[in-house]
Amino acid sequence: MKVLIVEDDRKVGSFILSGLAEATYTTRLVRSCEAARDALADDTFDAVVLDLGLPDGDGLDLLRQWRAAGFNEPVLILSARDAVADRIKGLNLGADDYLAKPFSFDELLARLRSLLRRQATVKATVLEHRGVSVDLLARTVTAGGIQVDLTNREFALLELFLQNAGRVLTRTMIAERVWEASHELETNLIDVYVRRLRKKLEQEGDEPLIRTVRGSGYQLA
Amino acid sequence: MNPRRSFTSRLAFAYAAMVTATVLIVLVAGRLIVGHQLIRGLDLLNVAEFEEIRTHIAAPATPLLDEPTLAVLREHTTIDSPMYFFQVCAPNGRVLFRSANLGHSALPPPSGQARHYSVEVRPEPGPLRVGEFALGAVWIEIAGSREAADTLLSRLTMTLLTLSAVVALGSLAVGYWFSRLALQPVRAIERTAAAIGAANLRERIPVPASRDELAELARLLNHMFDRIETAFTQVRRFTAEASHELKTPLALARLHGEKLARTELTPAQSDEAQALLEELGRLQKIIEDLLLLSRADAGEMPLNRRDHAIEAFVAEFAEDARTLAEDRGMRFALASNDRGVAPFDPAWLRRVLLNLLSNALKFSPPGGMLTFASTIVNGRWQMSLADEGPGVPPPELERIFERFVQLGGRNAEAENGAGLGLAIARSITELHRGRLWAENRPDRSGLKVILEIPAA
Repeated sequence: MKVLIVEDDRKVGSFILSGLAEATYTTRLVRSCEAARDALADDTFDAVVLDLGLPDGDGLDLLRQWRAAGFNEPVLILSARDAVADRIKGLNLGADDYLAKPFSFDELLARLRSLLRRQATVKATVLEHRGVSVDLLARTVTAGGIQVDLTNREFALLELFLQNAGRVLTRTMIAERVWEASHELETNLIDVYVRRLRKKLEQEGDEPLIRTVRGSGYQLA
Repeated sequence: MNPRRSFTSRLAFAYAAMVTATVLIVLVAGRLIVGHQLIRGLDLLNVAEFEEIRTHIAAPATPLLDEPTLAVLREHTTIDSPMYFFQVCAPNGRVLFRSANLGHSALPPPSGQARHYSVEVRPEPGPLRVGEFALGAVWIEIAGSREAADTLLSRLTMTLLTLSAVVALGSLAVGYWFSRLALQPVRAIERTAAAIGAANLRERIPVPASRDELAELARLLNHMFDRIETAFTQVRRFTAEASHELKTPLALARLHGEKLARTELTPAQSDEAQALLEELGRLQKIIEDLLLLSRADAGEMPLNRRDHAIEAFVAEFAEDARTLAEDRGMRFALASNDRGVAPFDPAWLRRVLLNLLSNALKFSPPGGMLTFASTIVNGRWQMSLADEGPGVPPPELERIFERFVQLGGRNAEAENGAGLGLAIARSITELHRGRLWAENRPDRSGLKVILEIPAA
């Protein structure tokens, strides 16, 4: 997997570069719009991490040009600008995800992985994992063959976990996808819901179904 | 009624009152003078009549009238009967002569002071002006009818009242027209000033060509707008720069901290690294909150206000609120959830409610009940969240919405916030053209925070 990093801050750029290299990605770092255009012209990439405030232009303009030229690989915007306004603008212009600075590297990695595997997302109407079965149409859940009652939120959370089995989901990702906003992070709402979900689905003595990944988030084991 | 219109009408009323009062004073004074002059005229006629009688009769030495005198009087009073009434009395009031036109009526007995006075003699001849004159040992009373004078005066009074009413109405109309005319330049200034907002701070009020108070006012306001524009530009620039300048080093600090935390560390070092990351997280949150507030102050918040059904929004929030409350060993009740539609940004309004909820959770005793109500009253959507905590001393009720103000919370994480939660909640509420305030519960100890925004 080859990732292009467009980031003008030398330190942040090299940090992402080495971090992604450690996670076995092939990476290339450029620091301007000009260099980014060149890089995309003479090489192919599976994903782009794009900073918006670049010395010779706006990352959003770059994104618009790429999308217009038919570049369809996932683009993750990384920006120090206001999350709400720029997120909407970025996503409208064809970005696949948006991460506000300062960010955690685990968050970046989790999102990048999710983007790179998105193409493989299952479109099934019944999701199953380790004895837990969710019927998305009938909105019913069974664990070990026994029906479990879930609230709307719990159902949405479980669906998200099953769609992303095995992947680390950060709290921010969960908040954005289940609550469509990131303000829930002000509270421990996500932890509380995960705890309730575990209580309803996990049998005593079993390996935990939902694993806590320290410092980053949760993972369906 | 809007304040400008009420000022216009106040001005009109003041003007009308002044004009009407002045006219009324002049008219009443005129009426008094005319009345006085008319009576004086009657008195002079009585005096002239007495002078004439005196030339015909000799002054009696005793309070008796002899036959020739009576004959003269009878003849004279018959000639003058259309105009005058006569009565001659002894000083003790005994009537010696009375003119025929008095009929059975009598004039009041003489007072002995040679006075002039008005009297009403019933049934005939009606209102009179009487003069008393001493002639030798008898008193001659001569009376003229006041009827003509009275009629004249009452007509005059009617005319004056009508005139005053006309003047009152007329001056009200003139005053209203005049004050509107006078306030027209002020309204022009008002319109421009109202149109100037965060979006078009470059606009200025046109300064009238005249060198008067209004031109000065326009100039002063324009100076003020200059300063505001500068301040806004500075806030915007600061916000943009602070975002970048603060967030990039913070991002690096966090990235390095996380990397450090992932390496092989002793338990003590690991705790230190986690503490470091937590503090960085707090710092990040404070910076984000401050940027949010400064953006809100500058009117630069990207709010997406659209009509939404409030019932579903409240139900979703209530589910999360109940979950959070129960997790902390407290209870949550949704007391009411009215149907309706209001323009709001669900993500931001949710943030307001979550801020209020965290606050209520901080101050509630274990097992305490949080009561949430959502109602539509007179076109306004009101949400209230009441806790069972200690409440807030009345002087502090407004202060809790200020920045960096914290009250000692019962629970541990009270120390954790920066005291920006309620300030942000209020800012977002105001961007929704709403109000946010706190009251102590009247029924028991506890704080009730009320959020009110216009409904659709």
